[in-house]
Amino acid sequence: MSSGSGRRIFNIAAGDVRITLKERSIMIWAFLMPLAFMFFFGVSFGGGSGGVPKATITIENRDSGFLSRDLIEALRCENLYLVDSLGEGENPVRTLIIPEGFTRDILSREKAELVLSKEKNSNFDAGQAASMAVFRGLAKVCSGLLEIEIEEVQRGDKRFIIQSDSVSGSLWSLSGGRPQRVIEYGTRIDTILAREPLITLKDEFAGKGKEIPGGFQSSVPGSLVMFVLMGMVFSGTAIVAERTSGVLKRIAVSPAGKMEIVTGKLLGRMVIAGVQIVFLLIAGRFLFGITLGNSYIGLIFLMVAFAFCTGSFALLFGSLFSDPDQVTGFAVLTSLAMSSLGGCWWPLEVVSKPFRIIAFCLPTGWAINGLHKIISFGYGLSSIIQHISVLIIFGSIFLVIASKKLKITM
Amino acid sequence: MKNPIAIFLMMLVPLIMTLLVGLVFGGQSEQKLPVIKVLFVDNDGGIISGFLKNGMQQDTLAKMIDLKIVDADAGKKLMEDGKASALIEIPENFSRDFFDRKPVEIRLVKNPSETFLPVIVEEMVKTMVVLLDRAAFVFAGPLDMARVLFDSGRWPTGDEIKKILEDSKNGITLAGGYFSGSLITFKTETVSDPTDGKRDVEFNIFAFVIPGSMIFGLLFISEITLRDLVRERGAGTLQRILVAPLRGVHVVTGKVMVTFCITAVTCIIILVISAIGFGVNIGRPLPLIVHFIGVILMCTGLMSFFYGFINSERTADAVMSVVIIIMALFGGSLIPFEQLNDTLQAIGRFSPVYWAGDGFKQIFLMNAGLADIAMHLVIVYSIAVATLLPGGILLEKKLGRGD
Repeated sequence: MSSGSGRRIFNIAAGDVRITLKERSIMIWAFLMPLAFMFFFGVSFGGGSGGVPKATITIENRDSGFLSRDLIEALRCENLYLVDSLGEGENPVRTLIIPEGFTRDILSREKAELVLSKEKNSNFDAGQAASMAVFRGLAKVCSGLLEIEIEEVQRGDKRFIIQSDSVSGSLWSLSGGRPQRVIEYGTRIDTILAREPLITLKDEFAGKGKEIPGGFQSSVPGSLVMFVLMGMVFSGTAIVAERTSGVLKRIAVSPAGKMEIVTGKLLGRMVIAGVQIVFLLIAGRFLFGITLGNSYIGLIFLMVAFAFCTGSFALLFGSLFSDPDQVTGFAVLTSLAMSSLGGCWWPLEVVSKPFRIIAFCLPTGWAINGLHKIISFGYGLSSIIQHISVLIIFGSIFLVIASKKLKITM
Repeated sequence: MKNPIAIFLMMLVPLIMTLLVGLVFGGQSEQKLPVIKVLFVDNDGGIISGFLKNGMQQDTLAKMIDLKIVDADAGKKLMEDGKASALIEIPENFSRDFFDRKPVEIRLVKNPSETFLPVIVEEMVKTMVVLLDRAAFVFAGPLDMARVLFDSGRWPTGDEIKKILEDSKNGITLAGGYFSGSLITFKTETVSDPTDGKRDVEFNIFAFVIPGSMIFGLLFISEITLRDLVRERGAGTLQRILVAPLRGVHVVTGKVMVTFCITAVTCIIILVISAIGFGVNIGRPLPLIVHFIGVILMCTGLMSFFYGFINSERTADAVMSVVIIIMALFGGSLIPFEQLNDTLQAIGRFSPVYWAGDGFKQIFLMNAGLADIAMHLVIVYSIAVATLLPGGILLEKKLGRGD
């Protein structure tokens, strides 16, 4: 390639970048909307809390006994926001109702019912986590009580015995309802619950990542891939507009040949995609606190391959359509389909196997997976060679078709 | 209507979104999570780790979890390749330490690229750990006896087994009341849901998704249609029209009525396709029609109001889509409202999209009547009235000033 040819390619690319970055709507769509999506999707998938939703529970304790207090204490050790009282006009999202006489009923081995009432439309995942946490809290308290019951039954007092597989009496009947005795049970169960657990769970993440991945760790790559793709596909409308308005024809009058025009257009789009990617990754790092992994080289190569792939896709769009309105509509539909099926909208783990296969038939699926390898697992360039190669192959196919189909004039 | 293709394609957006979500998440049936791939590394090989392993392969857990027993190296490799959602590693001498009541630690390794499934495994393992830990104390006596037998290195005699069982009997009988639910029941219920428990319509994922994406599409269609006003003002067409014996109020009313009609027709087409193509039960006619009219008036009103402040097509390009998308994000069009956290849900209830979409959801999924969606109707119609009139006045003033 001669220096003149290089200069012409550079001029075409620089012109496109200048025009694009002047557009107010591009600034909003390329830079602000992705941030909004990152925030919303990230918060929905657990925010920065490692994916585990932290549920809010308002406690409505109608019981005055020690068992309800112990249950509340057990819940304080769980990943929950416990609200003891609400301000005026505030509505509880979830309320745990501990019924009146809870302690006495349990001590008497009579039926008690705990209710976790949830507001309609309250967060489903947080609701499930809250139910599990209450179940665990109950298991701790009941098992403590069970220890006391076993001890008391073994004493052989007739007021609390086991006869032919059925229980007769209770701790309450043993205490005779004397407050001093009940307080004694309370003290014993407090001692039991204060014991250090024998079995503990240590949880960690696979890979080399040092930071705990939260909801933003999924939403940032997803939104980045979707909005870079969307921006590039929409830039295909500019090519159609240039063809219809005769701009390309005027460029063709210059010494620039078709390949120089195509290369210039591609380079311009890759630069725009690059600026967008850098901005979104920096925002992801510093605004949403995600990690960018341990291999910046890997990240750069992957993103350059993705920018090449989407830039070529933009040229393909620009070469296949002749009406800007048509290309806009198809751009919306194509980018929606490719983003959703590629795993930008929801984690691929929750979709069925055929759709996981479909995801890897699309550049978006490879880009998302590659980003996860780098930023979630903390791997290096060698782990994403396949991803980079596939994106380059996709891009090359798009580019070859675009070059053949692109007509400088209508 | 200058832009029929744009309107047609915008009409396709909610349908395509619904189709994709519906296909990906399972069509007609209740949404189910895929089977979770979990790796199990048993460095202990003892009775307690075997108990845990078997417990995860029984009944409900077996349907939820695809448990694969692997050695430590294979497990590490599979997790690093992202081939499973989680790995549970039982340490060496786990059973021995359990009997000796020495502290032990189970290791859970989660897939960092997955969002939901590792969390489910974590919650399950946490619960199992609590139950096992408490069992170590509750059944301390029988476990001590069992340990002595293990230490003796011989097979236990019948009497010894009988003694252990007898000692366990009290604990098992007493615990039975708690496990069977005859002593404590824990139930969850949904409040402030007029249709709670009344759902007599089969769940259809398309019916769950279409309301939100339809409102999203309808707002864009109202926006595209009203955009003609800005375009014609910019091109001078409106000034030429106003030379005729017409007042600004006539032009604005005409444009708003056209917007209403196009939005309504689009909504009807989407509803018909939803009913025929996606098998959505569109509910009872009266609440559907009343809510439908309210929603169309609301979309038209909102867009008229916002366009009252818009001077050029470039400003519309930059502002209107953003306004719609923000309303849609908060209102549950793009992310299910149930998925938003408590704070965002509280803010989301101020989004008109929430009331419009949720009203349709109640009608489609719960066969709700007018009384059930009374609050939705009041809010939707109030927004319509509060935006249509000022919006019309603002638009007319703009015409009068020739902005």
